[in-house]
Amino acid sequence: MKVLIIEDEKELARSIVQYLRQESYVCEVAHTIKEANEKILLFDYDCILVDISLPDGNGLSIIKTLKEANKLDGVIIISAKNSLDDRVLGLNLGADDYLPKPFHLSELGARVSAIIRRKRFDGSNEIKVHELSIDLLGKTTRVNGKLIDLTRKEYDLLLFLLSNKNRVVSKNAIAEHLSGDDAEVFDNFDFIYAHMKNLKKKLAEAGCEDYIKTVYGLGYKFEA
Amino acid sequence: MKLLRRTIQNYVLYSALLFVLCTPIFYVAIQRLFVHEMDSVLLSHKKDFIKSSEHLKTEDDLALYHMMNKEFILTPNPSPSIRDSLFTVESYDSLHGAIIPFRTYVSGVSIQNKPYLLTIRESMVSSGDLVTAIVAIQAGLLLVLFLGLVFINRKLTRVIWDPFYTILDRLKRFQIDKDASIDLPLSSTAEFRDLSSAITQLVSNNKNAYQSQKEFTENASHEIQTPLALLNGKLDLLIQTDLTEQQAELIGSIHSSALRISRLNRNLLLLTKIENNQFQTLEEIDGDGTLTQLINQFEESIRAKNLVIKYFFPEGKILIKSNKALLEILLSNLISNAIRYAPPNSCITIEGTKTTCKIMNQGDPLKRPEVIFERFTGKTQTPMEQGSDLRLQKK
Repeated sequence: MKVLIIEDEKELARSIVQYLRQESYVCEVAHTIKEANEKILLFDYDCILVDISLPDGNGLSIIKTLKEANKLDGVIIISAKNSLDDRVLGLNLGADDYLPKPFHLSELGARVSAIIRRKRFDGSNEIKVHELSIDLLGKTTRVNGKLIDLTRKEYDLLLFLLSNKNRVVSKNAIAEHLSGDDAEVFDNFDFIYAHMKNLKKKLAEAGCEDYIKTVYGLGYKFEA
Repeated sequence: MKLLRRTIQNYVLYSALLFVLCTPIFYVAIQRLFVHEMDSVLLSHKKDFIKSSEHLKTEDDLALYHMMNKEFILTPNPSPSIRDSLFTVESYDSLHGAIIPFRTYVSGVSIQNKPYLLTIRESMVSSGDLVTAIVAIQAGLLLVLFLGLVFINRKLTRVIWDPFYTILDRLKRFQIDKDASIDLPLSSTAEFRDLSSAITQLVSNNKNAYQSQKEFTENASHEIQTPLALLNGKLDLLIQTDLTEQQAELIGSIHSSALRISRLNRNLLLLTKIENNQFQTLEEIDGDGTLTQLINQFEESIRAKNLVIKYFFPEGKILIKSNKALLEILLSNLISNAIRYAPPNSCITIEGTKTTCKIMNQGDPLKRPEVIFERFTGKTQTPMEQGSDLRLQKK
């Protein structure tokens, strides 16, 4: 699975590459619109991350180019300008998602994997990890084929950890992910602990192995 | 008060003052003139009399003359040293059938070497009539003057002030974030031309200032968010490595601080945007719907604290004309503060009418309520959030 990262900030691009590689994505980086356009014409990507402010112009022009080349899928705009206009404009042009900077790499990972899943499995969208399977369309979770009843937040939490499989996801990232974009994030993480406790309990009761590891002081990790 | 009314009001006041002041002055002046004129007439009458009295040789002549000229009264003068005097006396006039003033001239004369007292009387116009006449004439003049003023002013307002009203109208409708430039009419009046050019200048200066401020906002946002994104990214990578407990704890708190900076930066940028008036699109928003929807976003924290939310909408559906994004931020901040500072297991009451929205928790009252709308004046150890949030409330 190939991901193109169009980002002029070299260090940030490197962090993203490093993080996404752990998910065994093949990542390429373009720092300018020119570079990006060359790569887009030559290769097909499963997901493209576009920064709006680039040294040689506005990243939105890349989305236009993609649209003209009919290669418009899996575009995520990452922008420091968290302006409603840019967001609306980008999404109207055909981008799939908009992620304002600064973001958690785990959040980015979750969004990238959501886009790639949508693209790869067209419809029958299921994630399977050993005995655990998640139906993304029905939003249902099964352990050994047996349906378990998760609340929406517990489901979101599980999916978020799964999307960042084998990587540590910080409590902050989980809190922001669960509270959504606009909600004020609270300084205490009690609600995360509560959800996590319930989720682990429900999975264990259904006979699922304990994949979710607590990383002391930092967060959680789905190990499989 | 309209310009026309204001000018006319001043004119009216001035005219009325003039009227009140001038009438007595006029009266006195005319009266004096009149008396003076009458006196000279009386004097010349006396001269006539003296001249003609030379022909009066006998008592009979005198009596005859007296009969023919009623205005002359001759009485024998007991004291020849009496001096001439002029005065006004009121007496009954058979001709008018009323008491009217007479100007009287008393003078000692000698006819055929006999001293006589000559009294000449001339009836005066009644001063009442005079005043009435003056007032009538003045009032008429005033009315004509006043009507003329109103008429001329109306005309002037329409013609001369027309560019002014056009300028005013354009200014009212001008929106610095939307309109490229202000298009003002060129008047032939120098003052209005000056006004137009001054406003155009002002607008273009403001436009530039606004533009650079806007650019600054965007630049600041970009400049700060990118390193922050970098910091967050590296931290996310760092936590993937093998860490000791101590390292993990340190990184965890760095992570939280980085997050806090990002949030703070976001809030500051939002404030700048609000101060730049970049949220001007207004729409009809379902107020109670928005409130309930926002409350749902906080269900986690509400459940964690075991709070009870009570809604109270006595007027039913509430439609608010506002900017959707700002309203949501405002309500969301209020609700989140209410939740944050509510004691566990308590109750939060939300009351909304068409004009007010009350979100009440059962927390401790503020120690210094007067600074609540200032930035960065928090009650607890999370000062930045509360401060910058509440600052929004005031807008």
